[in-house]
Amino acid sequence: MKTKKFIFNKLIEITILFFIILTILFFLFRAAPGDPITRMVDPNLTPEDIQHLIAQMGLDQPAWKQYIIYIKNFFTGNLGHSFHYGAPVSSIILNRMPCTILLFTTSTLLAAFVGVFLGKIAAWKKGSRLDNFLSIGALLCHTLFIPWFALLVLWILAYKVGWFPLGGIISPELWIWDTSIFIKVLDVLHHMFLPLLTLFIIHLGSYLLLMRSSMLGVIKEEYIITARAKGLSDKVIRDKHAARNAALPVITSVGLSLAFSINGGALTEQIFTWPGIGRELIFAVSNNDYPLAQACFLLITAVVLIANLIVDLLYAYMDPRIKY
Amino acid sequence: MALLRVENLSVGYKSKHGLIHAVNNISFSIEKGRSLGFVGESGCGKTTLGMTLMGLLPENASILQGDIFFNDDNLAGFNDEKWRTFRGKEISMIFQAAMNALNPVIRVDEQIAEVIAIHNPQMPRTQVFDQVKKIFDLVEIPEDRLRDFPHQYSGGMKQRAIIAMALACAPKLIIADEPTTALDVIVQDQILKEIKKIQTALNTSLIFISHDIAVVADVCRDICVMYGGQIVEKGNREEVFQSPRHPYTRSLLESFLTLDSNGDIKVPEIRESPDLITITGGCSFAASCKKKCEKCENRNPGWVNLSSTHQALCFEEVIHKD
Repeated sequence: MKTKKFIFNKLIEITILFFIILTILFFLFRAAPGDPITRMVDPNLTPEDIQHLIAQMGLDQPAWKQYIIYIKNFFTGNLGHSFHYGAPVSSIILNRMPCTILLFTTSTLLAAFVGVFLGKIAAWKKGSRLDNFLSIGALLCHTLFIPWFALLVLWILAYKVGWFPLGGIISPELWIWDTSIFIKVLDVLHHMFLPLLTLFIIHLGSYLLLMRSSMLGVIKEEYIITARAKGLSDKVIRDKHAARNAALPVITSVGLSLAFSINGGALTEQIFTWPGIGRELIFAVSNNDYPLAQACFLLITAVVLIANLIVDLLYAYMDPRIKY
Repeated sequence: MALLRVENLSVGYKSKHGLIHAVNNISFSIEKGRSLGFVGESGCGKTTLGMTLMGLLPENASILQGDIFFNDDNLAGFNDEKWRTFRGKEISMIFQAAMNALNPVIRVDEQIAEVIAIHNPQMPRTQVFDQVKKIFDLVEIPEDRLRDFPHQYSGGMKQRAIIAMALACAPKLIIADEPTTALDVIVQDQILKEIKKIQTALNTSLIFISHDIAVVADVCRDICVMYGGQIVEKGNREEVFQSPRHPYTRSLLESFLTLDSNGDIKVPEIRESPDLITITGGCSFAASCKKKCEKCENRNPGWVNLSSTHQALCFEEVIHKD
């Protein structure tokens, strides 16, 4: 009952926050320099035509009137039309969303699991050669400059060796004919490998280091000595008594990094021409495509807020001391 | 034959400043069903002694010399694997509950079942939990609290749960290291009664470590007073507390805060702890001893027999000087 009330209160809080951010975003975009017309309009158009276009998009109205229209439309599920594509923003987003979710959820979860596992081992054998190797490796991963690393991976594995495609998510020729679902899945995995590898390596370092330091703290706890006094084996003490407590901070980190992956992964998506939200966001911002950019940012807002709630709930599940 | 016989045991910690002699040439023994108390100030080596008997010394510590005979085994020569099958089964330890000795994310019954399961690999799960229920009964924790998490317990209940954990495999020897130090006096009294009751009921041997003389005197029939890594006086409780002979034991007994005739609090003198790195000749207590003579600074004191059970590590002439 208490948990339900907590979720209810949280949802109200999230809704209020969402609308505050929506408002700020709306006016922030209007305050930004540049205007969408110059980018999309053919220079041969007459000034009358341009005026007509501006009126059609509602850009001749004062900002507050535009805002009211925006809010009204928002509640009817209409996020507007993209200036560039001319298509409804919602359909563009829905189209891009699965690609981003697929890539980032896989890479983050994979990196988290491997990071927790290696971090646990490194901490348990603190000061050993293995620990030094893992810690230094993790530090290197953590400090990698993403675009440089992504380009390096692309250059070696796709361009020089030619094992993987240079970009995109599918090979169109395979999808025209009636190929089996198995081949299609394999094709997507083949395209996904390089961006996945890049994101995996970059996230792995931070999870490993986080788990390692958290584990080192837990190992000093009294209940680890108690566990040893019981005659339990090293593995049981490490996995059952230490790692479970130590993994708690990693959960928070995973939740937040999943949420921020949409924009944080924009660079990776751009380099590997992965047709996700991040790439769309960069495009929309640089072309003053207000409706599209706004929708992308709103999506990030929503995901961050909801991910926070999920982390809170997951925390309560993992740590019995936390109850709502 | 004694259950546990410790002979000339020395334990040292490696440190930046040199080897710290935390336990220095200690010998004692304990019979089946008896209780032996170790009392002394912080840093006297009593906890290190307990940890040595459990094979739980930290990595920078090691046994420098001596033997620990438990029945026919010499624990001083045990490797990790042997310790693992031994700990929790033959010797177990009661830790201080306030120090987070229970894992916060595992249910209490599971934490106790774990000990039984590891030492009885053939026992089916249901039987293990039946056993847990019996032990909870013994330490008087209501059955409906079995599935709780440690944070749902009060301090006293946590301590009971830890006692239950130590009893789980019916060990022959239980080492209790300051089990009641963080509890208020009323709960402390209950827990001490519990420990005494169980110890007599199960006829296990008990080593009780505390800095609190009153607590040790309450629980134990035999007492060792420790100072600077050594046992300086041993005997049964009446001998040690009613007629203490070693100057350190005397000053320890005097160190209770008492009111003088004017109602002012008499604050005992604060002495410096002994240096455990540079062990020179002479008595380790000499620097703070009120009765010291020339001999004390240069020569090692020997055991002075005061009765068949009562001994002090001192010089005859010092003990008899009043």
